[in-house]
Amino acid sequence: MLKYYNYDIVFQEVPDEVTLAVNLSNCPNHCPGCHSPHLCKDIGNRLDEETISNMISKYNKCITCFCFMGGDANQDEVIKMAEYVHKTFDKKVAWYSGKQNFPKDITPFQYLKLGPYNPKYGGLDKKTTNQRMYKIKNTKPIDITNRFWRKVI
Amino acid sequence: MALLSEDGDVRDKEYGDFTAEMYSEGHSFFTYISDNADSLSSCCRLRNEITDNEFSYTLGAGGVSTGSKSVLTINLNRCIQYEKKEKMPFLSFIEEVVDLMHKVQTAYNENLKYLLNKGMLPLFDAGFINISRQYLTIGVNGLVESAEYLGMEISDNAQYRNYVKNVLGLIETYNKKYRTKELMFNCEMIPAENVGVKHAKWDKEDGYFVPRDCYNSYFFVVEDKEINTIDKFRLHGKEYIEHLTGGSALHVNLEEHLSKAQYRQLLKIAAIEGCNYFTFNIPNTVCNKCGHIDKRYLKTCPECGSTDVDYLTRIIGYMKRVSNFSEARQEEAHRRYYDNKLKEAEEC
Repeated sequence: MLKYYNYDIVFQEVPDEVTLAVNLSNCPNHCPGCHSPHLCKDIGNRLDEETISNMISKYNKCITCFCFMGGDANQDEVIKMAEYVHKTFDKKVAWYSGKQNFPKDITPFQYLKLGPYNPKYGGLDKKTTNQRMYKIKNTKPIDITNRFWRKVI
Repeated sequence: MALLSEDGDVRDKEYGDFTAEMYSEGHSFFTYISDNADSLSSCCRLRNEITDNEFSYTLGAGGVSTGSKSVLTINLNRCIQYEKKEKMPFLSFIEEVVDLMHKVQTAYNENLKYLLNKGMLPLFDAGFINISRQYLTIGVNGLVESAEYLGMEISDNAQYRNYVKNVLGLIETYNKKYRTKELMFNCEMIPAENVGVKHAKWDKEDGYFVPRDCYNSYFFVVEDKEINTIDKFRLHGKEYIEHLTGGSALHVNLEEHLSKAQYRQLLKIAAIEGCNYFTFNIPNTVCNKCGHIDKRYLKTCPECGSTDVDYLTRIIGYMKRVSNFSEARQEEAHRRYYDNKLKEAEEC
């Protein structure tokens, strides 16, 4: 079972998308320097098809993407829910995972962020980061991490 | 920018793309969206004026007919509390005050006419502005605070929506009632750079419920992190602004510039929600050491590396240093929620 702490409409997590991002709790990664250590706890409410459907209905035509933030303790369930979103709604699906490797099924996803947070290398916006953001095109992951590096306007 | 909307998007897709591109390049401007060509009249007037070589001294969309000759503002928070304290029927005191405001505005207009007849108003005489085409404005302040006092949650919910409709609808009823050939009234949620602070101060001194030191200029609580960007468009959408005949621009505070695709989607969101007037605020950084101005929100100057930086942001339409805001406004600016990333996102 997945549990979520809260959700928000975000712009910086997934390039070019207006994203409904849901923060999943029970994070098993315990990255040193994590800014949201509360998400390691078993807190929040159940995230199932019904709660996802209610969330998306509220913002339906306004959002272009649905993003799972975390959920590494139950990867199978994230993939299952991602499939549900992908098949039921006309939305892109993203996953912010703290794991280093690709999940066993990437077909329901259009965006995948991989890698634990390491304060030595910084987050996605640092060029030294160990984390990677992939855009999945025809089941092929394309590294788009450089989209997070500050551009000069 | 002015865009006509249709079926939840802008009608002229190419112009929509161009608008999004200009926002993504960091340009700062307001966008007016309407599904009704009549509502574009202010822009047409602006165009006419350019061809006629006219100039408007009034604020607003720049047209001679869109300006106000007088703005008189009602402090809704104080009025709602007064009527409750006096055990008066709901909105009855507000109705009294609104009626009085229209009488005062009518008297003000008579004074203007008197001065005009004596040749004391040269800008009118010279034809720069036209007394019969300008509005007498009923300003609104303390709307959110009054709803909070009544125990409402400030979000898109039926109770709050109905309250907003009732209060602003009442003002519009009086705007129509007092309208004559020479008197036109409209209603505006005023920016309240100064008066928002004054109202809060006076009300506090007199023992009223005052939830913050500067009354809001929006339909949402500006520091409320639970209100996301789409909620803001919804709370400045068709259900809320229908009686605001004088307009109210939604200022969406963002931490960073977005991409063209994201701004383009936001134009769609505006069309879907019926939010007709909006802009985006991204704090610009100004270096106190070398004077460099950067369109991004930075902690250090990219030119000289100094951390002695200040920020420029928009207040009532103009870019201004945050350090030059009034004290209460500065505090409010710090609390403004620049819709930032979920911190856990990249660290989890």
